[in-house]
Amino acid sequence: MRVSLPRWRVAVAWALTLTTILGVTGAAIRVSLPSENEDDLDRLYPRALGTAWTYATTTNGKPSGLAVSQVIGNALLGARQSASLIETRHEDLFGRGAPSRRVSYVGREGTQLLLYGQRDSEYRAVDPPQPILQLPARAGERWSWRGKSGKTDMGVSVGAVRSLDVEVLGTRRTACIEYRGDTVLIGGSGNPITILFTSVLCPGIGTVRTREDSEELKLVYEQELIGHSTPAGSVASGRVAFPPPSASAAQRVLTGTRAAVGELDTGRPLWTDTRRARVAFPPVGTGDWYIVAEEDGYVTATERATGMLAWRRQVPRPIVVPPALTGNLVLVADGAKALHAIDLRTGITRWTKRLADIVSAPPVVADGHVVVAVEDRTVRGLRLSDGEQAWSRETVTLVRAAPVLAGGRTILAEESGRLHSLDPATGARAWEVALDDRLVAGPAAAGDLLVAADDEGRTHGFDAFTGELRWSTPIRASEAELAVDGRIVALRLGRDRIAALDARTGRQLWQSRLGGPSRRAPVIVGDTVVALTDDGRLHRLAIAGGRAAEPVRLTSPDASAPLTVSLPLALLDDALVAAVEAESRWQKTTLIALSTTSGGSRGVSLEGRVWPVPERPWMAGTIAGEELFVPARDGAVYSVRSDGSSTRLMSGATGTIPFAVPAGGLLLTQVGSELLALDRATGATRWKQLVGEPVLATSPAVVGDLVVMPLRGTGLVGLDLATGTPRWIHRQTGSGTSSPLLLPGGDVAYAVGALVRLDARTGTIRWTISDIDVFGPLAFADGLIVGAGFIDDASALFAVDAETGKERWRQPFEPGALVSPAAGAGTVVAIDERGAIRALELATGRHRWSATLRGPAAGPPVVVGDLVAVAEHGRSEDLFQRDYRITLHDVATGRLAAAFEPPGTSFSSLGGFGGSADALLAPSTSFGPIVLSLRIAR
Amino acid sequence: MSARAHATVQLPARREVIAVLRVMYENVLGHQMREGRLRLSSFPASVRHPSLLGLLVIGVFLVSLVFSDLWRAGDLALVRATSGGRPAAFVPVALLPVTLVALAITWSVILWGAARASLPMAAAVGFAFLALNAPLSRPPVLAIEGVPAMQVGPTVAQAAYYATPLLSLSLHLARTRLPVAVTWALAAALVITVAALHFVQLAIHGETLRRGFESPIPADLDGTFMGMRGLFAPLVFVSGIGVIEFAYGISKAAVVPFTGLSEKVAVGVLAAGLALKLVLIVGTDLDGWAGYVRERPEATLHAIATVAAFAAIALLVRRLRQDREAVDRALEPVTYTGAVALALPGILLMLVLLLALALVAQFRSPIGADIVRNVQVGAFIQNGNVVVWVLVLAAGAWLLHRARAASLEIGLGLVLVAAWVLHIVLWQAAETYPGLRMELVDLVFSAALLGYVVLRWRRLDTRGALGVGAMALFAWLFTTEGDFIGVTGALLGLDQVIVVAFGLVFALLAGSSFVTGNSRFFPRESRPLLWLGYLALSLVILNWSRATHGGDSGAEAGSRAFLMLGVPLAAWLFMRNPPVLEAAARGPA
Repeated sequence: MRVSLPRWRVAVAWALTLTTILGVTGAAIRVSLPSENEDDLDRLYPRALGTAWTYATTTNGKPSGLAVSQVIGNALLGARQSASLIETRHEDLFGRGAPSRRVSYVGREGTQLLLYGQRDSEYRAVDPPQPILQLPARAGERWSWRGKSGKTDMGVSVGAVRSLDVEVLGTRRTACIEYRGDTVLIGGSGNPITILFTSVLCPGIGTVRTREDSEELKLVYEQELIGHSTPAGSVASGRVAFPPPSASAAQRVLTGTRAAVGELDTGRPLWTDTRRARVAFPPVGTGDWYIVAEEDGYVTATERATGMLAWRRQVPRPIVVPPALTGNLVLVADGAKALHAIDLRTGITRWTKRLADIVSAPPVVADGHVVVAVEDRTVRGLRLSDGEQAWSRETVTLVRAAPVLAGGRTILAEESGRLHSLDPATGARAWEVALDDRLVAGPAAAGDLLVAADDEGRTHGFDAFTGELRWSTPIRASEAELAVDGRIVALRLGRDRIAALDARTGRQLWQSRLGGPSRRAPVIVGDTVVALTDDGRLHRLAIAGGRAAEPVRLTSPDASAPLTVSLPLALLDDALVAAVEAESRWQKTTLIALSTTSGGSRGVSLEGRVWPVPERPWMAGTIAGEELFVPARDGAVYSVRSDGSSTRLMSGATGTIPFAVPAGGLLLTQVGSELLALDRATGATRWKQLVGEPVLATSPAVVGDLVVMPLRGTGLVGLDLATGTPRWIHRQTGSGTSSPLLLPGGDVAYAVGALVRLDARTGTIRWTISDIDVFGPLAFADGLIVGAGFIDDASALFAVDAETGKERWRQPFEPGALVSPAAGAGTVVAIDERGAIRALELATGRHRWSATLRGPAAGPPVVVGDLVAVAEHGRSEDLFQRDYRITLHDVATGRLAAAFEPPGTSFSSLGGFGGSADALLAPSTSFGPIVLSLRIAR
Repeated sequence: MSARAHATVQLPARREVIAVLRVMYENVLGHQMREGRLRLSSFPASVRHPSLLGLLVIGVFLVSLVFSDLWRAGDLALVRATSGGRPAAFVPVALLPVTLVALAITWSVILWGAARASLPMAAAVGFAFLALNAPLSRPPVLAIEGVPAMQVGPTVAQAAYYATPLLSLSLHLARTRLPVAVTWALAAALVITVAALHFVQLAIHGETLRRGFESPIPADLDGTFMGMRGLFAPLVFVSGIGVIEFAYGISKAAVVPFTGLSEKVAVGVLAAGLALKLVLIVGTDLDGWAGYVRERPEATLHAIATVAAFAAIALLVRRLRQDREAVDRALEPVTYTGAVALALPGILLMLVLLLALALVAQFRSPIGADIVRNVQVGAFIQNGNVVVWVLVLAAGAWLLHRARAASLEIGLGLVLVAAWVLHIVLWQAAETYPGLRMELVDLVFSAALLGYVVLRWRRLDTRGALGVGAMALFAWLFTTEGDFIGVTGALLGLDQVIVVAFGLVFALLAGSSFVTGNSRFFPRESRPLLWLGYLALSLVILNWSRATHGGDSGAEAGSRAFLMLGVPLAAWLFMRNPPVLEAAARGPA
C-alpha cells in the first residue's frame, strides 16, 4: 500500500534530514581536524621538527663562528613529559677554538615553555623545569626561577622590556619582544657568577638576537640571526658562511658497477649495521658516508670508515622516498609535504622547500637543479643552492619511479607509462614517448640506453637521447627496478626468476630460477647479476649464461625471528648492501654490506640473545654456561636461564651491588661492606667476609681456590674460596678504585696508590711502581699491563712490562668514569671522558687510530680477538632515544666491523656494557629490563 | 526509436537547426534515457526517500571524485607506511569524517534495501556487512583512563557491528509479520547501530588527536577500504561501457547534420576524411610507427587479426535476424553481466580474504591468518577468470541457441565478450600475449573503411557514407578510451577521473532500467536501494582511493574495461546495430 504524504511534510522531513547530516558532518570535521591553536608561545619559539636558526656570533667583540640551533627530534622524558629535542652546535664556542654540541629538552606546559634539561657530555636535569618563555608575551611581564641545573644552583630573572619592530633577514618584522634578565650561577666554589642577557624574539621566527654579558667571566657574547629555516620554507641573509653545495650530477646508487665480484661468495660482510627501527629505504652514500632513513622519520649519517654516527635527526614522519645525496647535501622528503636539504657533514638544514603535496619519487640533481616529482601531478625544478622553484610541469598521472639521468637530461616515467625527457635547468621537454600500458618496471639508463617495462608484458629499450624505440621484447617484468649496464638488462620475472636481455637488441639471453620468491630487482656487479630472495639468500648469476653460484645466506642477529627482505639491494662505492628485516621485539633491520672488491671483508655478523631480568640491573652481569648472573637495583642478585626463567639468589641489599661473579659452585657478590659467597643453585650463603664499602666496577679475581678481593682503604686480601678464610692481606692504600687483574701464571696486578704485582697464592710482592692510581680494571696483553688513571699525579694512559715492572710508555689521557682501557691484538684502546676513542700501539704507545662517540661510553671497550667493541651510552633520560649503540671495530685500524642498536636505553649514566670473548653484554629494555648478549659470528 | 525523430522534414532554417539538434540529442541521450533512466517515482516513499539519500551521497562523492585533489591541499594523515616498494599513502584529514558520515548513510540505505529483499539476499547483505566491516569492529585505542571514547568505544563498536546485520534480518522478518510501529522501531535501531559503528571511530579519532597522539583510525579505515577495493571494479567497468555507449551516440549524432549532402560530396568528404585521419595518425609519427611495426610484428598482427576476425564474424552473423530494439534491450544485461563476470574473481577473492581477516580480528583464528598468508592471488584471479568466462560463454551459447530475438542478441553479445576475454586471459596465462595497441586497431579499422569506400565508390550512397563516417568517428572515440571526455574535462581543469564519473552518470541516466524490474529473489522494492547503495559505497571507496593516491585502481579498471569488455561490445554494436542506415534514417531527407 502506498502512503502519500503531504508535500510540506516531505519538505520538512528532508530539510531536517539534510540539516542533521550537515550538522553531523560539520561536527565530525571539527572533531577530526588537529588543533591549530597556535598562540604567542608557539610563534615566539617555533618548535616544528626541522626548524633551524643560524647565528653569527661574536665573543668580546671578535667573530667566534656560527652557532646553529635546530629542532632535531621529539623526546619523552620520564613516563609522560614530551619535549622537543633542540640541538645547538657552535663552530667556536666563546672563541676558545673548539666546536661544541649540546641538546636541550624544551616542552610546553600550559602557558609556559619549559627547559627540562640539557646534555653535552652528560645530562643535567633542570629541577624544577625552568620557564624560558611564558604567556602573556607582552612588555611589562616578568618571571623568575630558582633551581638546579645538574649540580649547579641557578637563579634566573626575566622581563619583557618592550615590543619593537626589527629588520630580520631583509624583512621588517613587527611585534617582536625584547627580553632582559640575569642568570646567577653558583658553582662548586660557592662564588656566584652573574650573566646579564638581552634577547629579541620575533613571532614566526624565534630568537633573532641575543647578548650575554658577565663581569666575572669577562665575557660578552652576542648572536645575530643570519639564517632561518622552518618546514614552511627557508630564509637566509647573504652572510651565511655555508660552503656552496657542489653542483655535480646526482649519484644513483643502483647504477654503479664493479670490475670484480669481490668477496660476495664468502658471505663475510664488509660491515653490518643493525637498527632497532625499521629502515624504510636502502642506504645511499659515498665512499665516506652512508645515509639511512628510518620508518619514523629519523635520518642518520654514518662515517663508513669507523661506523661513528655523524648525526641523527628527525623530520615529520614518514620519509616518503629514498633520500638523495649530491655533493654535501642530503635531500630528504618528509610526510608534511616538505623537501629538506641537509648538510651531509653536520645534519644542519640548508634549506627547506614546502611543496603543494607529498614528494612522489626520489629527487635527482643535475645542472644545479633538484628535479622532484610531487603528488599533485607536477614535476618541479628547484635551485640546488636555495631550494627556490625554477620551473614546474604538469603530468597526467603520478610519477612514482625514480627518475634517471641520461645525456644531461632527466627522464621521468609516469605511472601511466608516459616517459618524458626534461632539461633539468629549464624543464623544457626534449622528447616524450608512451609505453603500451602502465609502467611496471624502470626506467633505468646506462649510457644512451633507456629501459622500461609495461603492464602489457613488454620491456622496451629506447634511445635515451632521442626517445626512439630501439627494441621491444615480449617479456613481462615484475614490479621492481631494472638493472642495466652496457651489456645486459637484468629484470625480475614472476615471483622467482631473473632474466637477462641483450642491452643492444633486447633479445633474451637467459632465464634463471632463484628457488624462492624475490620481491626486488637484481643489481649488476661486475660480471655478475646479484639478486636477493625474500628468505635472505643472496644469489649470484653469471652475466654470461646465467649460471648460478651457491647462494649466500644472510642472517639477522635475532635468529629466532622470521627474516624477510623487502628493500632493494644498494651499491655504495665498493659495497653491495642488503637490508634484512626481522620480526623481532628487539631489532628490526640489519644492513649487511658485502665487499665487491677483494680483501676488504673483515666485518662480522652478530648473534643476539635476550635475557629477561626481573628488575633493572646494575650492570650486564656475567654469563656462566647457560646462566646469567646479574645484580639488580631491587637489592637482589638473579640467576637468569636461557629459557627466560630466573631465580632470586639473594635479596634485601641496599645500595650498590658492584658484581656477581660465578666461581665454581659459588657466586661471589657484595652486599654493603660484606663479600658474600652464595650457593649458585640455592642462593644459600656459604660464607661472608668484611671487605669495605662497595665501589662500582670493582670485582674480585678468582685464582684456583683463592679469591683476591680489594679491601677498601686497606689493600688486597686473599680468601679461601671454599670457606672465605683470609690467607693473606696486602696493605696498600690510594685514591683509586682498581680491581685485581689476573695475570698468566697465577699472579695478580693491582693499582691503587701503586701498581703492584703479587703472587696470588701468598700475597708476595713481585714488583711495585709507586704513585699510580687507576679507576677501573687494568688490562693485560702481550706481556704488558695497561691502565688509565693518575701516574705521578698526571692523568695518563700507561703500559708496564708485566714481567719486570718497567714502564714502557705513557700518554696524557683523561679516562672516562669507570671506563678502563682494553688491550689485545697489539693494540690498546681507551675512551676518554668526552667519548673520544684512542687506539695506540700496545708495544710503543704510538697512535693507531681514533674516533669520537657522540656521548660518553656506556662501559669499557672489550677486545674480542682482532676486534674491539665499544658502546656509547646514548641519552638515557629520553625514552625515545636510540643513541645507545655498540660498534665493533678492527682493533688495529678502527675500521667498522659491526654496529648494533640495543633496544631501549642503558640503565645508568655509568653504563654497564661489558662482556668477554664469549659474548658482549648490554643491559637494556625491551618490554621490561633485559640483558642482551651478542656473540660474534664470523 | 522515437517518432519525433522523423518530424524534421521541410522546416524553416532556424527550426530545422533545432530539429537537427533534437535528433542529435535523441541519438546521444534522449533515446537511451527514455529506455534506461533510473526512475524512482513509481516506488513507495519508504523506498524513494532512502534512495534519494543514496543519490545524494552519489552526487556529493561524484563531485568529490572529480575534485579529489582539492582535499589534499590541507593537512594529510599517514595511512600506510612505505613497505616493500609500495609508497606511503596519506589521507586528507578532512576526508575521514566526511567518509564516515557517508558510510553510515550508505550502509543504512543498503541494509534498508536488504530488509526489503528476499531472505537469501538479506542474509547475503548481512554477511557482506560483517565481512567488509570487520576491521571497524575492533578499533585500536590508547588505554587512557577517564575518556569514555577510549574506554567504551571498542565495546560499542563491537556491539553495533554484530547488532546491525541481526537488526537488518529482524527487520526483514518483521516487515510483513509485525505491527508497523515495531518495524519502524527496528529501522530506527538499525540506523542507530550503523551510525554508532561509524561515529565511534570518529570519537576515538578525535580523542586521540586531542591528546597529541597519532590516530590509528585513518589507517584502520584505509585497511578496510584496501580490502574492499575490488568492490568498485564493476562500477568502473559499467562506467567505462557507459562512456562507450555515449561515444556511440555521439558518433551517430555527429553525422546527422550532413545527411543533406549529395552522394558524391558525402563519399568524397568521407574518403578525404579517412585519408586525412590516416595521414594524421601515421604521417606525424612515421618513424615511430615504422619502429613499432618492425619491433612489434606480433602486436601489429594481433591488431590486424582483431579487425579481420570481427569483420568475419560480422559477415557470419548477417544471417541472423536483426532487431534493433532487441539490441537496445540486450545492451544493459550484456554490459552488467560482463562487468560482474570480469570483477567476480576479484570480488570472490576479496570476500575470502575479508572473511579470513574477520576470523583473525574477531576470534584470533590461526586459520584466518593461514588463508591470508597462503592464498595465491595471481593464480586465483587467473583460474577464476577462465572458469567464470567459460560459464559465460556457455550461457551465451545456450541463449543463442534458443533463437528468440531478445535472448539471441544477449546470447550473441555474451558469446562475443566471453570469447574475446578468454582469448586474452589464456594468452596472458601463457605469458606470450603480444598486447593490443588500440591506436593501431583504429588505424587498421580506418584503413579498412577507406578500402571499403574506394571499392564501393560508385555504389555508396549518402546514408552509407555517413554510416561509415560514424563508424570511423566511433572507432577513434572508442580507441582513445574516453580521452575525448578527459580532454574536455582537462580544458576545465578536471582530472582524468572525469571519464569514470561521466560514465557512471551516463549509466544512471541511461543504463538503470533493471531497477524497475522484479523477481522473487530480487524484489522490485529492494532494487533501487541496493543498487544506489552499492554505487554510493563504491564511490566512497573510489573517492578515498583517489584522495589517498593509494594506487590508481580506477584508471586500471577503466583500461581493463575498455580492453576486455569495450572491444567486443563495440564490435557487437557495429554488427547488430550499425549506424550505417540508422543515422541516415534519422536525418532530414
